[in-house]
Amino acid sequence: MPEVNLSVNGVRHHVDVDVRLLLVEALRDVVGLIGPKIGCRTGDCGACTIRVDGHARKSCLMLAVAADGTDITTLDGLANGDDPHPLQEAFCAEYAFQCGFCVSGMLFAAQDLLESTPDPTDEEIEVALRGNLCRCTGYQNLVRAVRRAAGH
Amino acid sequence: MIPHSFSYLAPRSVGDVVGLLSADSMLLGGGTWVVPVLGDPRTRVARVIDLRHAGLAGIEDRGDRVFLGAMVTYTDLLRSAAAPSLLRLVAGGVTGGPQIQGQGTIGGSACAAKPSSDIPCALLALDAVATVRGPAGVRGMPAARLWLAPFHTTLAEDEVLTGFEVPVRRGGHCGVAYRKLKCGTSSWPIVTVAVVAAVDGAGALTELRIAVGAAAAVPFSVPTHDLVGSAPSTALVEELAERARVALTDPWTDEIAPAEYRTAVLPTIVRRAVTDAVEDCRA
Repeated sequence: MPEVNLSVNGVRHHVDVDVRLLLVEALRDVVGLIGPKIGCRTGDCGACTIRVDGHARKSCLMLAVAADGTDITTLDGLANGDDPHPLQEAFCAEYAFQCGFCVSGMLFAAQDLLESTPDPTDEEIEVALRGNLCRCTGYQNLVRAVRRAAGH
Repeated sequence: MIPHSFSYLAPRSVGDVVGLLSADSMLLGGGTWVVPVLGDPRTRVARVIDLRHAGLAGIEDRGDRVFLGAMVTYTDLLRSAAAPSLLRLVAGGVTGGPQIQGQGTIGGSACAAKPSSDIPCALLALDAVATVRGPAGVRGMPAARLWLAPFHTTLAEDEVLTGFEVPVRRGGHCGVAYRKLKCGTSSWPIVTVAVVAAVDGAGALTELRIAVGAAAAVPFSVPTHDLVGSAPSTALVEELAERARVALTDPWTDEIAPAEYRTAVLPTIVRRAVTDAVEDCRA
């Protein structure tokens, strides 16, 4: 099995992976981080979203072997130790977490948005979150949470 | 886990890619289409050839043409001033959100040949030429000849799409438009229409290209040659909507919409797109 070098949440991992393994499966089953979820396996739902080299990516669409050399952040590494990320605080305040299954996609998509557009309109927030499905249908709360994180 | 075994290769040059191609190999671009296909138990491939390191990710200004490497993502298009404005318009609204914008590639979308994908229709409207490399060397192929059938291109098993050359439109008043009808922001389009137009100082059309996607199994152009030289008008917009309706001879059906619905809505989307493009010419 090929060896893959990954930096995950600031920790270097050298892992042997089966070429058939999806990146989300490697993160959950080999590295042991269960922040990214497995929902659809087709790129539709966004629950497997992680941050790869600074950008949100759907990890069910990546082979683990093809992620060699990347720098990854998962939901497990978004907070700074015990201090939640400002987006996580805003999600708590606006009751946007609900069941929690979709939050990887929502949080990382929101993080990408706020980095490029610090003061987004509601429409820009909706467009930025469109690649993620919330099975609780909590979309209004999610938009409010991103708006709160943006400081208004 | 992908149910069947295969070997994984990540060649460092296009030449190496061509040397590895065979009937039982599959090229991996951004992964948004190929990785789910690999997960289908019916799929059988001996080797997956990852193009990530093959040097196909560049956007290159070549004067009267711009070259877009096959591995250029939608995010790359959005960040490039050299990328054609129509493709930037398309890239901003692709299905699947910002994650997919960063992962999906134009070459991958073109080769997946999914009827409802955005990129094929836009490349057709732009009169793009596909650059194809095989054992005999490099050849150019107009986008109009690239799509054979749903999910099938005309590329041979030992050929790889390396990118597209797109004519750069300068001078005069150029305008582009892209309209699509879909059920929601994250759903696949039902009909897409891309328009490239230009008018001269007197307001007459000097260029008009209209391509339709998602309505048929493969994207098609609306005939417009005889209308170049005329001035945009309501009657012209109606004429183009009618020509699009006539040109749709084999409407596509999928789980999103039946052929009858696509046929019914096409003229309206053409009217909107042409009107947008004419406004863009005057802006």
